Amino acid sequence: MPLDIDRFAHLDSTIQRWDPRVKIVSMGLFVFGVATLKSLPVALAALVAGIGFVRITGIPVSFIWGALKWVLLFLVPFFGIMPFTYPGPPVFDVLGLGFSMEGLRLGLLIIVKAVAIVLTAYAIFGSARFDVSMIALQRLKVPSIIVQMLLFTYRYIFVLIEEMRRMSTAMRVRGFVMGTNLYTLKVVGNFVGSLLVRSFDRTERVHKAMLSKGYDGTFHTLVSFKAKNTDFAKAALVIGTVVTLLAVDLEGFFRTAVAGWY
Amino acid sequence: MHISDGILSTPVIAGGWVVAAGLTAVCLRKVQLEEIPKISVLTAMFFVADLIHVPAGPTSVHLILNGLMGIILGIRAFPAVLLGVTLQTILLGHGGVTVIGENAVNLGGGALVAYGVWQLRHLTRFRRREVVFGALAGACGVFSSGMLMATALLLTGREFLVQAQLVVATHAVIMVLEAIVAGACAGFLIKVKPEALAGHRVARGGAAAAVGPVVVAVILGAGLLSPHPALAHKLLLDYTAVNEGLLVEAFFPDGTPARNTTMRLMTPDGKVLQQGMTNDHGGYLFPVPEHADYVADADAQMGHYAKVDVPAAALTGVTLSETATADAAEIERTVTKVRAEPFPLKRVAIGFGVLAVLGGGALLASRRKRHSELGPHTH
Repeated sequence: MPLDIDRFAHLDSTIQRWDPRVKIVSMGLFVFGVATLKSLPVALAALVAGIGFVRITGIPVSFIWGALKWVLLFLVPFFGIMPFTYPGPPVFDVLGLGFSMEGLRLGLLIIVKAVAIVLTAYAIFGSARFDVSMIALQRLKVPSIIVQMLLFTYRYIFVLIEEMRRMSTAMRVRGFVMGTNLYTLKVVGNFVGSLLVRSFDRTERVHKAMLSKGYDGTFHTLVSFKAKNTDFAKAALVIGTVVTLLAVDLEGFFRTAVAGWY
Repeated sequence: MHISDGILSTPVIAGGWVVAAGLTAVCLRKVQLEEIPKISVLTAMFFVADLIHVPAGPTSVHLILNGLMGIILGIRAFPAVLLGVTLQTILLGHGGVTVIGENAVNLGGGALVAYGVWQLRHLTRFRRREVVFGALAGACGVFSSGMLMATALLLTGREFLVQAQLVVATHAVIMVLEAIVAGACAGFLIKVKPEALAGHRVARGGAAAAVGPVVVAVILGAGLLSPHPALAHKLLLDYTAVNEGLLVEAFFPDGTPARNTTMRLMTPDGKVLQQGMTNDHGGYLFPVPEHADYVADADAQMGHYAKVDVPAAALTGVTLSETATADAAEIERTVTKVRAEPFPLKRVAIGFGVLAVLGGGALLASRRKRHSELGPHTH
């Protein structure tokens, strides 16, 4: 699973060159627009756009698959149950159970939208260094305390994982094997507890070191953004696409019997 | 568990964001600079919990630890969960970008409930109360999260009833594992680093303030577990022309009659001719003054309103009169109709069957190896 989402930020493409502030706003609008779509053909168009974004950034499919498979695993129940529980005219019976086309359509719609959004999200955050994305968020007036907590957390995640590996090795050396039993769960509880105690001590030291270097609750960075006309042109392109999709969707060219669902 | 993109309706998504933003603002009030590293560590812990797998029979589940967040961070757990969910969405693809707000409300709401339960320990005094209340808090945290998620699904549409029940069932299982882990962890911390736990001293507001989230959770749970008659139910109207007049009956889709409901008979242009209250069977008998088109409506309050057109053609054979000549209850005995939509038990059963087959297939296809050691599993 790719924890370093910015592994391919160094690649060169129009999206990587895009001013992160403008990119986050316009692609964010795209994502929320897609989430409100109601008709399947329009959602498919959004999926094509999402695939397009990822292709432009040059992020390999195998990298995204790690995240995509979890989304699909969560969505399988919806796809499987929907045709049988959705109130609609049954097309044919399976074991005396009506299989409704409307339910199948809804299940497909959900999956298509979800995949389109995940792909677009990867194009947003996979195309810039993580800290640059976070600083862009700060410039977009996201409260500074939240951005700092995100950055601290991002750092601690890797520290914690490293610490967990070490502790896990130590436990294996002492002969611990996991099983479905009370003992294992208690050990997991103590494991989490000692991980926390170690981390607290470490962060206290780090915090004191930061204070002694003059940390006063604000972050100073050498990253600076400068939006050019081409950045806004790309934004216009993306926002134009989503507005068109929404307009077509609302116009109802492709709508069949969706009155009951929104 | 995190909801993915594309499922929830727009109002629910928007509501999730609004509630998440509001709770974050409230829970971050008067935050001190020194607290930020601690909150961040816990946020990272919450994130990493997604990677710690514990075996559960033939498969393995990952920890949630939102209850533990409440135990350690108190109300600061909510913003921590929000940020943790944000990073899980961006880095791991768990959940969805548009539903970060909703997922934070589900899991963070659970963390707040857990904090409430945790604070209740001050009311008792026995030796291992931290373990017991830690376990209770862990269980309540996960369970309330499941409840909140099911609520979000049901608010989106009644067709998600099966999925909502599935969500509650899954969380009920995870709840047990999570309770033991949280209890053991609380017991460990009280021995090793008691000052790390939230509400180590009794809060100024006392236990009373802590009961708040618990009460909310209980009400929420009760509301969800009760057979939901008022939940997104439509009101239906049915009319039968009988000899004595026009019998109009109001009922809910599951067949429950709408009792004591104001019912009116109007002309097509909206002039009210007669009105009355429905009886115990949800019926009311209107005398029909002349052969003409009518409109009947019923208003059962709380947004339940229904209207039905009665064409003149349907009224042939009705004795015309200005006043009621019979009681609705007498007529109803002769008019019997089945109007309950029975619960789609078979549908649900087959749904579960399909789910089991698909799930089993997915499990076989992925051929996941059992995790025999504790540690991060970054697949």
